[in-house]
Amino acid sequence: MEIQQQIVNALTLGSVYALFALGYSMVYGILEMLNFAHGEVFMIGGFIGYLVALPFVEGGTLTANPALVIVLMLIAAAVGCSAVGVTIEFLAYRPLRKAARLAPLISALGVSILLQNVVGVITNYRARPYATDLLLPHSWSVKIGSATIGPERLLVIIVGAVALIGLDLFINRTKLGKAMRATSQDREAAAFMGISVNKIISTTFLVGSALAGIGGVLTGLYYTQVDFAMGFALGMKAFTAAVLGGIGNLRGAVLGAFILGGAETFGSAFISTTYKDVIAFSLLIILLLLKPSGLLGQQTPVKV
Amino acid sequence: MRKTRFIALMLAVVLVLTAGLLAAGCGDDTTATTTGSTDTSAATDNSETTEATAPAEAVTIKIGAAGPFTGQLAKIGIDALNAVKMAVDDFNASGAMPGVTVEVVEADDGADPAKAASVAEKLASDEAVVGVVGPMTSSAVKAALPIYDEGLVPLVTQSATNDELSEGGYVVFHRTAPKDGIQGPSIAKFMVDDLSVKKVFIIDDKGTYSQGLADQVDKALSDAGIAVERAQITPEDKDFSAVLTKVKSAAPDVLFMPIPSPAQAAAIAKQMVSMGFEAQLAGADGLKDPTEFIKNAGGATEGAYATSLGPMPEEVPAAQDMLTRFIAKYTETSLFTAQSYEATMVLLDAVKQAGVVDGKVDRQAVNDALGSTAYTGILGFPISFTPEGDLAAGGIYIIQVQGDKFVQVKGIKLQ
Repeated sequence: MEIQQQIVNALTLGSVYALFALGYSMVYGILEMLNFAHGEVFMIGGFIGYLVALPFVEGGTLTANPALVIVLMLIAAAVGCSAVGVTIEFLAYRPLRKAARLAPLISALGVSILLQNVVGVITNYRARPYATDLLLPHSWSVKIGSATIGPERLLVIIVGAVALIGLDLFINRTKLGKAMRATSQDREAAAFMGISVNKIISTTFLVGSALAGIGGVLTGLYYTQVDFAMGFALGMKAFTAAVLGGIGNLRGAVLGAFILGGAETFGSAFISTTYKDVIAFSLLIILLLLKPSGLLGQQTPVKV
Repeated sequence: MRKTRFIALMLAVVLVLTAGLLAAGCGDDTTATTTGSTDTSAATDNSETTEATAPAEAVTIKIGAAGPFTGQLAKIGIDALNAVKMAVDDFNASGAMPGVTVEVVEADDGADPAKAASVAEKLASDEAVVGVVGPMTSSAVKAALPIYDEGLVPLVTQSATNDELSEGGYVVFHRTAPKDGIQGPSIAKFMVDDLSVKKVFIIDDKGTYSQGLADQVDKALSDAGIAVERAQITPEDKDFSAVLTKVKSAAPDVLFMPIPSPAQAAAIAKQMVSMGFEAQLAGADGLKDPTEFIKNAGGATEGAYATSLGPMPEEVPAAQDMLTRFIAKYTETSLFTAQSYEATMVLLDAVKQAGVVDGKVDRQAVNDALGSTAYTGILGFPISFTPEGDLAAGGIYIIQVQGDKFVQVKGIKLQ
């Protein structure tokens, strides 16, 4: 039966979107700005993973334990992307914190275009291959019913789930998470309570970018290649997912991601591959008409 | 005597500087670039004319290079642009038109029809532009063609193969690649005769090129009684699991994907391996990129078929010098490197036929010259155009991935 396989496809796609959408939602929750450069951080994560794996791949074979290589790729991408994310915030957004709301938005777009083109020039606008078949051979697949879950999907779903649960615990159970929530509710009041707002904002970018880095590597493994424009294309979808779930709400972002992944997969499987995006975006419009703040978003009264 | 010569020299310098400033200020999307070698030749030309009584005054004309230099297809676009520049440099250096310096105006359309139309406006309104190489994608040509036609800007596209382009009665249209109406049925015939297919699954990306070719092959196969199933993706798609799950349950003899992105096709092949099933892959001229379709695929595309419009430049002796110089300068060639060089030379040959009249080259004259072109360049076969602007003779070749390169397996001559 095709449907079981398509459920697996939908779950994988949803996990990819979720890892990405969380970063958008976290930053929006705290700064009320759309961090367009998030997609490029994601893309850079994919390239860091590619570079880390490069020395281990020699003439069609792997010279080290694949699990070790993948862990190294994930860690390097998380660390590297955190640095990139925090730097972007420091250079492009922090100086504009008190400027009009549109200013950081434009700045974010600028950073996005800049990073995309810098990587484009460096990579000669070529895609770079991931040695997915070596790192995660198909023979490791798991069969559930008639569905085959390839190891790369399994990895995306498992690492995705762990990261999502970990983030949820971090935000809701730790002191730092509490401070983040407080800053998101009312930045000034949080500052009065002795919370270093700048530090919290940096932390938000650090965590969001680390997730994006992990997402970049997982996506590279799943899509089997990375290219300079991948962040932008995926970013549109992830942003949609974040809005669908109620932007600023993290559980909402995850929910939105899985709904979008499901709509796309089942839309192309059972209705038409041609209208895949039409189906997904029609769904978005209908949901937003019914619930303008998104599925789990809260209606915040206008502050006076 | 010394003094007048000094003043003449100063005047020449001022003139050159002003020309440079004007060129620099001529637009935001389109930027005029003169490469180093043409710069120096222009300077020597100037000093010669002030000194001696050379009859030919220095004329600078421009040709547009239109294509996707940014975005998803930037790689093939930039390689094509570099090939156009190389052809122009060679033409300038050859002294084929004494006193004339050709410049390249870059017109980036990002493969986006709307942008293609707006850069067409810019090129058409620049009087010094006497012709355009490109646009490269069928959708872009379709959008820009009426504008070039109205401005009477002759265009030679190296890669736009959609049938309709030559059916609109536009006099400025010329292409050095065979149209899909020839390519599609040839591929279908190859699948039926040589691969004995019973069932084919076709994936296209909704673009003018891709869908047009998919329709052609679909029709030819259906006429031959072969079962065809179809699905569509978009150029931005990276996740093909939903589509591939459909392919898997359809179990076709051939998965035909006439898409313009070899990287995307390689990803489809690799994701197919990840999903644990195999199908004979086939595509069209869009896949002919050894780096993206073979090297990056890590074996997943071994045995896949594609096509080459005209002979593969790598196997034509006349193209070797150009390819070697290109690789020396830009490390690798891609899809339309030699074709772009050839298309540029065809246009420049027509410019030469038209000649300089009253200090300028007439667009109409260039277009007329293109109509009666018979040019043999590095691709090794004579290029001439039908009245509609299609390539009059030539051939397409079925090629196959064998090891780390494409190998020609079958040639199909055009009539």
